[in-house]
Amino acid sequence: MDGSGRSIRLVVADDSLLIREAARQMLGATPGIDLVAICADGTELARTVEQHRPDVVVTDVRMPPGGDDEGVRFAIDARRIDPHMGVVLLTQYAEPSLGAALFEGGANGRAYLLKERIGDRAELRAAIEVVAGGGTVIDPAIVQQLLATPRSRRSDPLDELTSRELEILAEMAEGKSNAAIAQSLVLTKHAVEKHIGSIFQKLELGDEQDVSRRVAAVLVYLSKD
Amino acid sequence: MTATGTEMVMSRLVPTSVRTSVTWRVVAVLVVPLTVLSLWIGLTSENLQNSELGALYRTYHSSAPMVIGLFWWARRPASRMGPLLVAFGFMCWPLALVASTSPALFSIGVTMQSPTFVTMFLLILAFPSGRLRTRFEVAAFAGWYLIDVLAAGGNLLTYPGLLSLTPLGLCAAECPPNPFAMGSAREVVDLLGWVEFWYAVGAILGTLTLYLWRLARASRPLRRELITVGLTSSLFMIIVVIFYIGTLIISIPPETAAALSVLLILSRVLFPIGFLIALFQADYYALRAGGRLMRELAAGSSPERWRDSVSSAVDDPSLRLGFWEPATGRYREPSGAGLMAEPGRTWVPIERDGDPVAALSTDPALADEPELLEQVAEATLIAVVHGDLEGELRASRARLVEAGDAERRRIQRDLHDSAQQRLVALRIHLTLASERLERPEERAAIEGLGEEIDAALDDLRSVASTAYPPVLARMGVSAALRSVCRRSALPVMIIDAGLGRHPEAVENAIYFVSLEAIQNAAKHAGTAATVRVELGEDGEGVTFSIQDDGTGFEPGGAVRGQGLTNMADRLASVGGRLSIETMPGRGTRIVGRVPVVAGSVAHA
Repeated sequence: MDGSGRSIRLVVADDSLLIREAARQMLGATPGIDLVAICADGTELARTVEQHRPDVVVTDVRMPPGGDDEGVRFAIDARRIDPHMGVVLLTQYAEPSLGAALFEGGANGRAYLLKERIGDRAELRAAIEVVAGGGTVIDPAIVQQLLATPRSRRSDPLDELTSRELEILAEMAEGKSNAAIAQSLVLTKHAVEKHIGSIFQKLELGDEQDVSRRVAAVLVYLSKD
Repeated sequence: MTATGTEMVMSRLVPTSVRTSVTWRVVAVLVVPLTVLSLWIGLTSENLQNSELGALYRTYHSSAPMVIGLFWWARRPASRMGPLLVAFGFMCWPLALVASTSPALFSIGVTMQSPTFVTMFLLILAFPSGRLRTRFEVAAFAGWYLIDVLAAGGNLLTYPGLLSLTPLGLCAAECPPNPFAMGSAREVVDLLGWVEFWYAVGAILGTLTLYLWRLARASRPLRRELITVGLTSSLFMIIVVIFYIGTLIISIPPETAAALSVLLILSRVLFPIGFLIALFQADYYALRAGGRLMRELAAGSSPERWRDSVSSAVDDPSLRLGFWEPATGRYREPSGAGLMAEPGRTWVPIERDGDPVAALSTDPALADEPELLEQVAEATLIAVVHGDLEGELRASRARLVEAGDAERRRIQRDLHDSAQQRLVALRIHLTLASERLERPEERAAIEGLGEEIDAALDDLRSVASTAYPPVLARMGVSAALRSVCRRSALPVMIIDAGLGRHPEAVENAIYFVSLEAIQNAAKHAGTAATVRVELGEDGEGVTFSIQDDGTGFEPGGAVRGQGLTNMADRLASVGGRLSIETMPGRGTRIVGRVPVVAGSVAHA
């Protein structure tokens, strides 16, 4: 919910007819979501967005006419069209590096999920709501990949993190707020804040209170060599 | 000295079939009757001792140089040596006349002995081009012939009885009288004889000196020929000097004179053969040089290395080699400089079916080594054709590899576009279906199926990514390797020292070779091993290495042979090379190098 109580106006784009039909059935019947239109490619999506000004767009990354990064391009353009529009990108590849461009202009109002999350109503709806509210969601599977990336730095500060701190870092990267992290890891909010302070210190990152900027910082950190 | 260069067209250096001029054929036809006539005169002789042996000896004097000369002429048409030897044979033919009972013919036969003697020295000095090299030499021989004609002519016109003093040419009783003797001018003729004797002594010593001087300065191939002719032909010069000094001046005992005359006969027989041996010898060494070049070519060469090989094969450090550049219509050296025929040097264009391929610019002396030049030219022709073949081979290998890559990419796309989409749609429908179910256990069962689909999607992603990693085309080798190494069981450290983007085929080759090496390390290096991948490039190309600190293996072992061969082939398809450093217990390091133009990019 975007707080006003009215439904989130949603546009979906995917070049697969099977997915469009399935998505129509599922999202058309999701409470709190008003499915405005479904598009088959990037051109149609741009036109539809111009016309309907939705709150959130759920789009496949790979679509005609741009191919592999059509969705990413749309997400970047979307900031210019409407800075408050949320975008959920669905990717076929569990490749963090391919999504890195998405966050270059900031992570607020953006979600980056594996394609199959579209089949999990609760998860998809949660992501739609987060981006509608300007938040960030990164697929846990992709965050895990980032954390597993071998780094060439001789002394990797990640090695200095405790296992609890690593867990919290992963949750941060997924776009969760301190409260959500506390809930998910069964900790007090205060404990989470303490751990986060320690993580930022060890990684030499500025202590960001804003969650989406914090995600961006963490992602940039993790995707560096 | 020749001021202008010599141009030797490859196809005419050494004729494959003896293609000869009309003159050659006329001369060749004359040899037979002249030989028969010479033998007939000798065998029917009544005025000489040892007439049978003498007949053979004197016939050999003329026929051997004629035949050997004709052979030379046919083999080295550009050389004057052949015609010169033939001319010498003709000049020697009248020597057979000493066997004639006719006083006039006998006298002519005796008189011709000294000019043939002078010509023998001319042959030695003119070898192997058939030309005298300096004006001084020409003047010296002109003077020698002049004084010889005067002295021999003087003898013919004044001596009533000429003597045949050559071995196997001694008169049986009295020599026939000289019908040309017209009077007596003994003082003048004796003076001419005396002048000629000392002129000859000077000329012989001069010839020997010049010969030794040229020997010292000659290139190795030329020196070999000069030594052969020197050993076989100069032997006669030395023996003849000793023989005449012994018999005419110091009157050695008859037994010694007889022994010397046997030596003289043998050395005289050897004289023309030396020129023949030199020709065979040139063939032999040319073939050897050709064989050596072929071996070097088989071992792998480059345009620069080939120039050095050719240069050492012909022993000419000044040799320049240019390859034909169809685009500009010029010959270009490996260094990039243009190459044209240079005055004062030998120019050897190498052609194939009339199309220029390459050209050599050599020391002018090599014009006398046509067999060698031919071998070198042929080897160069083969080298160029072989280079084309190699390029063609690489291109066809590259096409195969590219087709394979395209296929992998198609599989990856198909998996994502059809199977993955279907599974994702199925996943949505399962969720919708489960939502319609009332009973919790039925819902749980359907949701369990949904998890199975998620697992299937994971597997599918992994298969698709292995077939062709999407990151490779988008972000390059190091990102793709980093991505794949996250799934590796072995700790892999990737150090990218600034590897840029390169043509797709090159990146694909580097990626797949590195990946195979990493997988090999995972398979063979042992569980405690770590892998270090380094990627970098400089002005010459990309260098990458994959090093593990595992168990290593015996180089040349068969177990890993095929994998390494595949990797080397894959890299060779883009012109790269692979090297492996390993020892049991020392880990393995695989290094690949691919020559590419720096900063060459491009793909979407």
